[in-house]
Amino acid sequence: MDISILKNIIQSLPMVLPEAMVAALILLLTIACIIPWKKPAMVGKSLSWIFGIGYILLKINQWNGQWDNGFLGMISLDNYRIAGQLLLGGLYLFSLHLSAVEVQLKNEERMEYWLLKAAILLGGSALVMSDNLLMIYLAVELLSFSAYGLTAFSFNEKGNKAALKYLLFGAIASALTVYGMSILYGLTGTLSLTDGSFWMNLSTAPVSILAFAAFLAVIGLLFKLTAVPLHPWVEDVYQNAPTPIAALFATLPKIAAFFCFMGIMQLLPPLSAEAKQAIIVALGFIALVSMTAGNLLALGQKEVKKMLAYSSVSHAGFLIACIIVPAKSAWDAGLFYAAIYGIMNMAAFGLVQYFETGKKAITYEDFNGMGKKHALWGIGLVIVMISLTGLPPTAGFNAKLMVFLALWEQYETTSTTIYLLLLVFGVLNTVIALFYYIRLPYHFYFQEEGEEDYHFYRRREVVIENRLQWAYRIALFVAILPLIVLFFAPQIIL
Amino acid sequence: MIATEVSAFGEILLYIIGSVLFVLLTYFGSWLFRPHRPNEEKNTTYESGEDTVGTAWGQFNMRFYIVALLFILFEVEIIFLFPWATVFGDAQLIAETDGMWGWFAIVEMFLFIFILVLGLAYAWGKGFLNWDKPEVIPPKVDTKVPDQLYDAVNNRY
Amino acid sequence: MEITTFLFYLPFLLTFAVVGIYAERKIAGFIQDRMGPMDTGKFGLLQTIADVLKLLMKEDITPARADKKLFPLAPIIVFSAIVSGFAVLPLTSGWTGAGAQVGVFYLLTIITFDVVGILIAGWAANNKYALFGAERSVAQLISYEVPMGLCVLAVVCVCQTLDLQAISFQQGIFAASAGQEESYLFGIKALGIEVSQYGGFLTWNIFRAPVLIPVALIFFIASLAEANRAPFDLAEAESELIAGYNVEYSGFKFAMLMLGEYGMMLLMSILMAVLFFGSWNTPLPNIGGLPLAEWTSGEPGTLSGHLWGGFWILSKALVVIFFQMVVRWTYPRLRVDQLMIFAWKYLTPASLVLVLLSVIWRMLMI
Repeated sequence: MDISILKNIIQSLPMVLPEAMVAALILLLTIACIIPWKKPAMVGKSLSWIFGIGYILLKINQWNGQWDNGFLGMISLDNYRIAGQLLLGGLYLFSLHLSAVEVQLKNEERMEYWLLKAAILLGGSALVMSDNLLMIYLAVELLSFSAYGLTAFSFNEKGNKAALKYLLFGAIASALTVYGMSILYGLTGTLSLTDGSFWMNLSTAPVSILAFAAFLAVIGLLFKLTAVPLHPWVEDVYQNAPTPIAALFATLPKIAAFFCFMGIMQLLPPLSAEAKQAIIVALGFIALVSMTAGNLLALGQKEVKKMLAYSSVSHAGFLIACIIVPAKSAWDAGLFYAAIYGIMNMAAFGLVQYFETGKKAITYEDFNGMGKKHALWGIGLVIVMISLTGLPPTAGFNAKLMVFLALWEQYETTSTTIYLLLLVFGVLNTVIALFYYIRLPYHFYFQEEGEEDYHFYRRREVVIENRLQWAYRIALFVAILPLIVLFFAPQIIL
Repeated sequence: MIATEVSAFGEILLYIIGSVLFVLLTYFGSWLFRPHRPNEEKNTTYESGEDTVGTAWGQFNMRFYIVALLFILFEVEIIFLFPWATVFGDAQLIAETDGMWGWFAIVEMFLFIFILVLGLAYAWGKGFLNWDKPEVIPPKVDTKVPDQLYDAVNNRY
Repeated sequence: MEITTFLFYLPFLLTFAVVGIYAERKIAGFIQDRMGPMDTGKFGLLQTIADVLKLLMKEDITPARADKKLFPLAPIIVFSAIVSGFAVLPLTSGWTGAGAQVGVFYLLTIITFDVVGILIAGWAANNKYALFGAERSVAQLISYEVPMGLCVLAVVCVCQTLDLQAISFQQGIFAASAGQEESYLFGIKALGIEVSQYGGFLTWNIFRAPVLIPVALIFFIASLAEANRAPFDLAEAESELIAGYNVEYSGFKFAMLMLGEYGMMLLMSILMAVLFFGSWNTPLPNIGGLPLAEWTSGEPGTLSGHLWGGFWILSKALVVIFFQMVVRWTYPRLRVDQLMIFAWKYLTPASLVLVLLSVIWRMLMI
């Protein structure tokens, strides 16, 4: 036994200080679960906020630090990953805010709700910095298990069904992942991705087995990214989970998986050229199918949350497209895209939640004629939808443009067909996306509200407290503002 | 006498095979001696003389699943603790690291155990450890004995 | 090159079952102020042998509605799981059994298999009594598995090894010759009193680390539950469940389940002797010019070593069994909710604390 191992472990401890903070939050909330509070929502919310902000501050503190591999190559940290984690922290806080406004469901009375949310942040944060197959697997599992639990938090039959569906789907995905990882371990004798022998041994492994194993091993990540062969659960889960939760699902795990993927691709170079090419083509194909299928499925939806669910599949395609371009420009594009994607999805879900809890608006038709009464909200809605489509003057445009530019550059230097295909399909998909995104503002402003429906909605209308109204407005403003600002000044993030 | 060299797990296998063979042997032995005269009455399911209704193959009480879940939680914990238990107090390693080895390992594991204890505390606090008890309905009897005498007896035990 | 201990343990188990059932009846009689069996043979000595013959001659009934394949399988699983547990138990200083490094860990795992057998027995009979008995029994077994595992863990923390023979050597005068650490009085090195030279009860685990005394108590309670013995014999509560999971078994299949139960008793008692009471080491210490310990334990590997070792370990185990029987006839049966609460709310937290304490004790020992 080497003493240096012990030293390495002790020296790596500061690397996970922010994560330790989140873990402490989880433990505290567990204890809080069994104490009968007078106002459990207050306790859960304030604890989550304090520790969430603490997490972000500690992460900022890590910025530009000299971080090496930690815990014997289990994790590693650099500015790119820290940026990703900061993004996760921000999304977590925003989702906390959305939950606080959610007056209908009384979920926040349950301490477990806050606990599982914190667990998602911990899982995502760990996933971003994992450098070891085992670590990746554990982080994905932590994300998934909390997600299964949270899905059921709408406490109705549909929610339970969705949670069960999610659980079964996730269980199979995770079984396949661990199977693939075990084959990779068998081929290489190590689980550490930073270990040179891992890639060396992979290069000499039989191609058919390697392809099979590698595909299985990334299933877990693709599942979190909701890329196409692993997308069927999104519809039910996003539709039936409480909306702040759906907003969290749509952003945090995906972005975490994206950064993890980026980290893996960064380590690819020791692999032989053919193998790299094969990986790129395979992932490129997944990206292609994801963006197209996601878009086409979204086109057929009648309910807004389902539309957003499938549109997130399509966005996953764009994220994967960034992953496979091994160039600096793609990195920036990826970071930018992920950030914008997170912000605009949060905003979109926030708006949907507002209309859902306040006006019981679920389908497109429910939004008919609301433009007259809620003009200000409508402006926000239009901005978010335009941004989701990827049109100027919103940051969604910059994000897509940067991805396309990166793809084009890569095509020019390597002339690999897949990049061109991705580019073409990406542009085509943006056009398709226009139809279903703009449908919402169209119903909002240009459709007349049915007379009968009017009373129906009035009866169901729920008055949101004034104080909360304002909190809500500010939050959405905070989310929507960057979409405009970043269009004119994208360098803020880069 | 068996005088071959068997490895440790070979011997364990020997035990397993030996005991299974022993049971089969006794089955065979009793088959030689015992009578075999089954009839319909004999082969019915025993239910204290009543005719059985339906099958016993049905659902288990949910409680058992919760116990099983808790069991798995703790067994996994114990599985993780065993390898640790054999190394944390290694005298040589502790000497090499000036005692840091032992204390670091202990702190790490205490944290681990603490988290699991929290799990137990959670199950306890949420009442998952309590077994279903039927509601006790005290029978109403028309007697001259005052109720508090009964209560005194009931509350004592 | 050793002869497998199987050749000793299986016949010993059979003999023990015969003698043990007789002893149990006599002890029960004694405690309840009656005679116990008296008719068959002098003092009823042949009673159990007659019972065995009866079981052998008895018709073997498989209920028509039972699962025909699983029904005979259950006794095999129960019996072989328990007998396999004996594989790693040392018998004497020179007769180790399977010297697997994972030793006691293997033992804990293999006897858990017993649970599967019991569940199969209850399920296959397709009898409501049997199924309820099996459910309760399984819940009980797995609940008490946890404190028991933690108790074993506490011992492992002190001894730093899973090998039962190594644990045995640590607790006697041969520690140094087997390459084990020497013991200090109460395990506290700072006291500076080395006791390995004295041997005897001073080097037993419960004296090497007195924190293990409550651990031994919890282990004893858990072992009662593991063997399905009173006061934890709810699974076979005669008044409620007739005979629990073995209600439909008759003839030698029943005998095998019964034998499994007695096997569990013996296994737990020997394990307890090994873990806490010095295994095959003598209880008598060397006192100055009076080397009692050396007189009462032969050199490892010699004939006298075998004889003394076997004598000590088995008599310790039998003393533990005597207490198990006394407990059975002294305490009333627990209610099912008390049973589970006792395991989860008292024994488990207590044994967790004891594990932590023994970890700290270990740090005092070096």
